[in-house]
Parts: sequence; C-alpha cells; structure tokens
Amino acid sequence: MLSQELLDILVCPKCKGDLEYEKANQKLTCAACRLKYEVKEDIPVMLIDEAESF
Amino acid sequence: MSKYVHGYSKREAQRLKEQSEILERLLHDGNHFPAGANVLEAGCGVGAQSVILAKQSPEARFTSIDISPESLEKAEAAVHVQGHSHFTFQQADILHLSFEDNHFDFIFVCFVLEHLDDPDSALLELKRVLKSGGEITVIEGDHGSCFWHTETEASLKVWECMIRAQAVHGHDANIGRRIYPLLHKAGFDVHTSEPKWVYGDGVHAQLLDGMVNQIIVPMVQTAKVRSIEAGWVDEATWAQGIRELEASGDPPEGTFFYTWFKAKAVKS
Repeated sequence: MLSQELLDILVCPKCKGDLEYEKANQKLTCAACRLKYEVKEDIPVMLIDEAESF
Repeated sequence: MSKYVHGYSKREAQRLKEQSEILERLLHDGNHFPAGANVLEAGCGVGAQSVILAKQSPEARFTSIDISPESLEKAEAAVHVQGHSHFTFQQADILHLSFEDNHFDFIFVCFVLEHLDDPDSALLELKRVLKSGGEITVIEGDHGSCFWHTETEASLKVWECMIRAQAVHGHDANIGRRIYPLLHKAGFDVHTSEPKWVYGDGVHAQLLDGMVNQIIVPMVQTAKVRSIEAGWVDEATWAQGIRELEASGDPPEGTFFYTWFKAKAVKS
C-alpha cells in the first residue's frame, strides 16, 4: 500500500497533473493523458514508456 | 588481489568499515539535512549513499528514485535492514520526474550525471522540483583526475578503455570537472565546488588497498567485455593491465590518487 505521504506528492511525469490511486489493482491513473502507471510491490513505476494506455 | 590483503582476513570487516568511513567523511562531510526536510535522492542505485544519508540525517524525509527496478529493490533492502523507515522509493526517469514544481527542500545527486545522455536536461528537471532557496548537492568522479604508480602501458590502456566505454554511449567519465559549468548553465547559484581527492601509499596502506582493490579495479572490470568485443584491447593485455593496476594498490611500490568533485548550489 502506498503511503498517503507519497500519494500527496506524486503527479503524472508527462503532464504533471494529478493522479488517481486505484488501490484494488495497484495503478496510478492520469485521466488527462489516459495513462495508468503500475505500482509493483509498493514501488510506483513512474515511467511514461512503461505506462499502460487506456 | 594484491599481496597486501593476505593474512588480514580476520580484520576484513574492520578494514572495510574503516575504508568506508574514510570515503564517507570525504564525500558526505556537511551533508546534513534538518528534521522534516524533504530530500530527493536522484539516482540512488543500490542504496550505497542512501544508508549514509539516513544515518547523517535521521529525521529528514527521503524520496529515492532510480530507473532500475533491480537497484531499487537492493536500495530498499539496504535502508530497511538498517532500520530506516523515513524513505519512499520510486522507479522514475530523472528527465521526467513525477513531482510537482518547487517540492523538495534538498536534492542529492551522487555518481549519476556521468551515466546520463543529457545531464543538462536532468539538472533543469531537478531544478524544477526544487524549492526556491532549496539546495542541490552534486558529487561526481573524474576519471581523468587520477594517477598511480606505476603507470604502465597496459594499466593505462585498461583505464582508457573504461573511459571510452562510457564515451561511446555519449556519457562523460570526466564529468567531475564540469560540475560547475553544468550547474551554472542550468541556472543554479553555485555556492561551493571543490575537488575531494584521495591518495594512498605505504603510509595509508589500508586506504590504498581498499581504494584500488575494492573500488577502482572492480569499476574498471565492468568495461572488460565491451572493450574486448569492440577490439580496443586483447584479452592478454587486459589481464596484464588489471594485474598492473592491482599492483598500484600494493605498497611499498604502489601509490594511487583519485579525485571526486563536489558542489552545492541553490535555486534562486
């Protein structure tokens, strides 16, 4: 589980906009860029190239 | 390995500790971050510096990033084993950070810029996430600010191969001397910048042995495969160069000198 402290400071690396944390499937979603960043074993993978488009 | 280490195996743990303390004093002197400060460690690697940062600033809050998930896993284990809980880790690209503007009080960058294609853009991105008045510390090596005894042809050859192996990727192994120009170009006010040299000979035999055999030779060896595959050197010359480089860590004949560069700069 990501700490609230970390969630508070994370933004999308592409647009620097807010992210939404989907606890159930461990994704951080940027609605503007339509990208989902994966959280692997509590470490967010904030790489644009590895984000999943939707 | 050099002859020097023979017979010292019982003292190995103590020797390694002394060696790391010497380098720690050299590179981390003055790296204290106050309680509650938000510190970004950009390019934490396997956490070698993270554990020292945590020890020196137990009440600061660290965010450590790296592009390699394998390294991050090791860094996380290293800080947790020492009982530090005020760390968060994130896999990230230094050119596209996932933090808001003006977030961090301090940024710490150690042995990172030398591995980047575009250190200028990295510093601009770091500056973006640093608060106005916030301070960045940069420590980099400079493989050209180095000499040893005896500088044989083969030992110089393997050293040149290591620099070349970084250069073909567009990376600068001699970046230490460029810290000031890079920070200045990125718009930071550079407050301090200085060489941090380390020298070992028979008077400092443990330091010499540790520096050459624990740091220098393993670092050069990482360029072996690339250098031989590229045809810059043949296998026999490589082996000879490594043997002769190891001999520079073996007193009374061997001596070794290396320089890191460290700067502190502020975002105005």
